[in-house]
Amino acid sequence: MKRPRKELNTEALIRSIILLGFSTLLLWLVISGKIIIFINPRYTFLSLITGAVMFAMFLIQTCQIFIPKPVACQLHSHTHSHSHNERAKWSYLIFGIPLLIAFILPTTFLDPSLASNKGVSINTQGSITNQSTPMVYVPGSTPQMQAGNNSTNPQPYPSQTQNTQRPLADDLRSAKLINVTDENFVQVMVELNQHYKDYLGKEISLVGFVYRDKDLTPRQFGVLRYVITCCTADASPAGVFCESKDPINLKDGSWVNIKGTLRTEIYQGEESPIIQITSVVPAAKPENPYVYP
Amino acid sequence: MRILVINRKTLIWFILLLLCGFLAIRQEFNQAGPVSSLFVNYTPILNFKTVLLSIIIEALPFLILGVFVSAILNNFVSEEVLARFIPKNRILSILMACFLGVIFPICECGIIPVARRLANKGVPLYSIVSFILAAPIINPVVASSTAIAFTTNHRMIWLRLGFALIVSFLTGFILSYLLRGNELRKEDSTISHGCGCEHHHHEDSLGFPEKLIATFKDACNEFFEMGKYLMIGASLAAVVQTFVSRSILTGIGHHPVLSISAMMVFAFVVSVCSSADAFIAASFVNSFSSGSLLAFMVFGPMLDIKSALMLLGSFKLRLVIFLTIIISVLISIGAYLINIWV
Repeated sequence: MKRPRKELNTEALIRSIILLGFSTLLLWLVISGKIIIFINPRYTFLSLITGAVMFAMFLIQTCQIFIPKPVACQLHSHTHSHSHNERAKWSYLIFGIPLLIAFILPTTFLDPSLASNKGVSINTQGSITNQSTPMVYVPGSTPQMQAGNNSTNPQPYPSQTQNTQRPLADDLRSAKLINVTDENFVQVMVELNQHYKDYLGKEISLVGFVYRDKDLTPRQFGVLRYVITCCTADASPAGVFCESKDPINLKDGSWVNIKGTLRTEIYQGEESPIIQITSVVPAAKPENPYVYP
Repeated sequence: MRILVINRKTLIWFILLLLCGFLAIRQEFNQAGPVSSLFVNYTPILNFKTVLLSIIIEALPFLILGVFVSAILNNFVSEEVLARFIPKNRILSILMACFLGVIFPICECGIIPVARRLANKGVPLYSIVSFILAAPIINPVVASSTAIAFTTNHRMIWLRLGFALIVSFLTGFILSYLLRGNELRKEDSTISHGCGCEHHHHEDSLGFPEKLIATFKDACNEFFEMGKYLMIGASLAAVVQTFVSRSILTGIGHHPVLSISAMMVFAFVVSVCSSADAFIAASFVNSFSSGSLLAFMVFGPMLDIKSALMLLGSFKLRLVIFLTIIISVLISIGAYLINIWV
């Protein structure tokens, strides 16, 4: 005996699957902790709430699978509704592809190889400015004030910077070794960038990935990490530039723990801070390679 | 509509398929499956995935918030209530729209569904445009992130906020004289409970549970309408971020005019959230002029790939074109003046 045929609202079915996909993705990422790969941990709760809300949307959408489309809609001209449905089905592919990418491709932290794309400012080739480019690059800070700066009247010391907050200054000044950790990475970089003259001769240690650039000599390299503000899309590389006595054969992107002394160097006619390496040791990639402002 | 036969056989196949799918995906989670191993060493694709998903994951909460606010407005707030809140005077209503972002700090992705709903409810379009332009910038979240990104140069915060205010006010003002009639796309004037039928319902005639269910349904529909633009925009932005190097930008950084245009194009394609773009701008502080950085920070939240697509999905092409031209011109002029005077 054949059961009577039931008409299902297939559009609702597709929508349900998509909503389920997104809510599962968000909830899985939050529960497994992998969400920090994509966004600043401060916003984890947002994703959790969104995952829960989308799950509720999934439930409601599922109920609609069993409710056929209202008869009134079939009053539209036959051709209109037909093409509307066809187009609608294909447009769901736009949701399906990112979901597939999310679930099938491996989930990895942002790779150091993207650092050069993101812009590490060592030197702006062909720049017509006479401003010194900091060797210690940090997002958002300048060693000198932006306006009113000209090369014929160089400011020897950034005494005109408007920033008067230097929370780490005392600690760093009195410490024998500046130990840069995941937590203080960005603050230390800001401080070093603006007031490196206070720390000349001090020893510093930090962990980061190696960055090599064709503009640098074989003995010079950067040790950087990604600074994440909101999400990985805005990741900016930050860190220090180093020089060692012997040419380095470290692979670009490999993780190292360096120790060195802060000194200055004339680079393109301007004085810049640089770390003279005393030791370089390969390090394990940290569980969370990102740092946050 | 296709017809699916529900019986025991179909159910068994369905469950088997689900099980296989689950096992396959579980393998992939552990990066042991056939597809994962293909890509494990191909870092650009993995970087693309990381950037793409990060944009989507970050934008989703705001998109969901936006569609729900829009759905709540549709089901719980009537036109009469709204009319009471909006000042009749053109200038006052534009001004008010510019500052609404302080109480509605939603990312661009969430604002457009709300804007569309407000337009449907009869709020004047020029005010809505000012709202769309100003809210992503003139809010406490963005102000504080700009302050952090430019710790040494607090002037940039005030310049950014002031610049954004002037541009959104002027744009709304200009558009109020240029626009006649409904600028919403025809198909979307019937956004409703998914049945595609036009019907105007009275909020007070339904009980609360029905309104709640209707709200969820509306939110679902709007999510699928607006979400596709988010997906496309995020994919394009992720492609640019992963495969296009910023070295393209070097060398024009201090050109008084080119730097501004370069930064505006960059802002358009990189499509980052308005709270994060301050940090990206700050990373260019030594190679680009202040005016161009401000252009980046004001143009980006107003118009980028994601929001352009979403606008095109909700409003007529004519409006989007007007908008683009007006804000491009205003921002270019403003940035140039800042470069000269400041």
